[in-house]
Amino acid sequence: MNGIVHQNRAGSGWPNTAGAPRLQVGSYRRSPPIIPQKAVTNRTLALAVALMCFLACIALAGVLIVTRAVHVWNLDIAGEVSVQIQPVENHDMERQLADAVGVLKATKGVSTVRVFDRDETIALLKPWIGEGIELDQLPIPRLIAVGIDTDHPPDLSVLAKRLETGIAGATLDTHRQWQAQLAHTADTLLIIGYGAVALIALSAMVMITFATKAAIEANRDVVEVLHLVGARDRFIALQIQWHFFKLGLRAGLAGTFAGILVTAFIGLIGQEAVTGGGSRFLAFAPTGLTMKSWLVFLLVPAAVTFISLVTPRFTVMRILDTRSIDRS
Amino acid sequence: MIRFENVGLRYGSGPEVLRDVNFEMESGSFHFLTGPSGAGKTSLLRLLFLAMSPTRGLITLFGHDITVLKRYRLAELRRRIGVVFQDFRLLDHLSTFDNVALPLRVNGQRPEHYHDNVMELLNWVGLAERATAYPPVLSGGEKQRAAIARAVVAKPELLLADEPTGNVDPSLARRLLRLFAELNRFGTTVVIATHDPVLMADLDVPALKLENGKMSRIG
Repeated sequence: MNGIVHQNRAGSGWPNTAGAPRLQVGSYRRSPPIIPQKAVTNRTLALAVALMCFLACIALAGVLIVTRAVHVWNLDIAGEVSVQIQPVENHDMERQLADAVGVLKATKGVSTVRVFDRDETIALLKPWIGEGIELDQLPIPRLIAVGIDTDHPPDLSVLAKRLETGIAGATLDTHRQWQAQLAHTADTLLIIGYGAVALIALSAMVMITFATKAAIEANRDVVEVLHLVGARDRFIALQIQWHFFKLGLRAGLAGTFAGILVTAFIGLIGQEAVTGGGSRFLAFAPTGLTMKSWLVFLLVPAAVTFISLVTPRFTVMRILDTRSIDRS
Repeated sequence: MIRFENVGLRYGSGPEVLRDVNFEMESGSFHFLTGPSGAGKTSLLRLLFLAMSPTRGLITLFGHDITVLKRYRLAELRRRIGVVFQDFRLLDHLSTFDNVALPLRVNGQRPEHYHDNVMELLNWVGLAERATAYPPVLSGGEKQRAAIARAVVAKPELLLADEPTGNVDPSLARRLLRLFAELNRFGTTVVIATHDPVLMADLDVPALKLENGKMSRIG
């Protein structure tokens, strides 16, 4: 036996024998995955993840549109208040209106003052009262639309007090109650929207956990061999999570792209069907979304990719640690 | 390096397949492990490559009591052990080259670093021409040689082989035995489980005999 080992050409130190054929050593190539992609993920799972991302996009679109609509409405509401003058016995309505206009014009932060004349006021009331009732003979309240400089708004509580104490029958309507109700409704819708997104994310995590467990079972022999040649649990986890990472990224992008397309498409339909300035934001109107809002959609594939990276790792580590696959 | 003290092993609630096994192997030694089929040779090897824990007794490997070894330390010890399985345990979806290179990959080495080394080894075991072939198309002998190459590629401190020459012709069997002997000469502790008396006659090394779960020493 002595002398049959010597350092060979490659310096590997393997025994050299006269009878062994010599091989032209070729160039190395990229190593194939130790656990094949097909044995871990499949098209059905990819489709399910893409569908989840699509649904998340739709839910997110709802959240963004509601947020945007509330923002625009709040701006509209904050930009205008109204003064209502009730008819008071022994008081001249026109005089009351002129006094109110005087107070308003003298207030800093009031940008415009517009008195609705009697005909306009009757026109506003008619839809509520209906035809056939003669309003000309009735005392009706009058309105003053007051534009507010939103950058330097007046102290509305002080203004209200001055109007109410100085002018008989005058009240200032700041729409705060309406604003509060709107905010409450919007908050509820946002909770529902974010809840839906969270549930979709949770479903994706559960789905990937089950898929990871199935992958471990299907590759039990491979995992055992890997352990026996000295692989650490985190090395095995990496082999599996890499496949899920790729699936999450691809399916996430595909689902999000589909979600954005559908959101934009519904938005186009919505714009045609709904008229009116601020109110169109309540419909699916993507033109109402800012560029920043559109970029938020990119969080969906980012989140699903993260879930696809982290969930399999935790699952594999937990299975290998608790089940002790190779020391049964 | 290896020490067994009153080791017993049973599967589930069945009878003991190993009973009061006591032996010690020095680092750099060469031993055959022999005995009739079903004597417990494979079970003993499974204990040695840390695939199982004994039902009772104490096993010390590389100075560690394996019965109390933390799970995260197992990989570290296994990297010091090369195993040739009786059923080869090659991964069907990897080529012969990639199967042989698996321990190096697991160890974090890059293909550009181990490529030449693996090819030299494949060349030596006569599988260079089959480097890109996959296990399902390899013959029994080729699979066995690939399994041996995988076991020795990382130059382990301890080499365990379960019937490593069972599927090869006598001339290749002798070459493989020479490989084991050479690895042993460079310091690897070798344990070969076999019931082939011809193979055992080729080397003048001690043998441990297992019979009905009890161990005795020959030579």
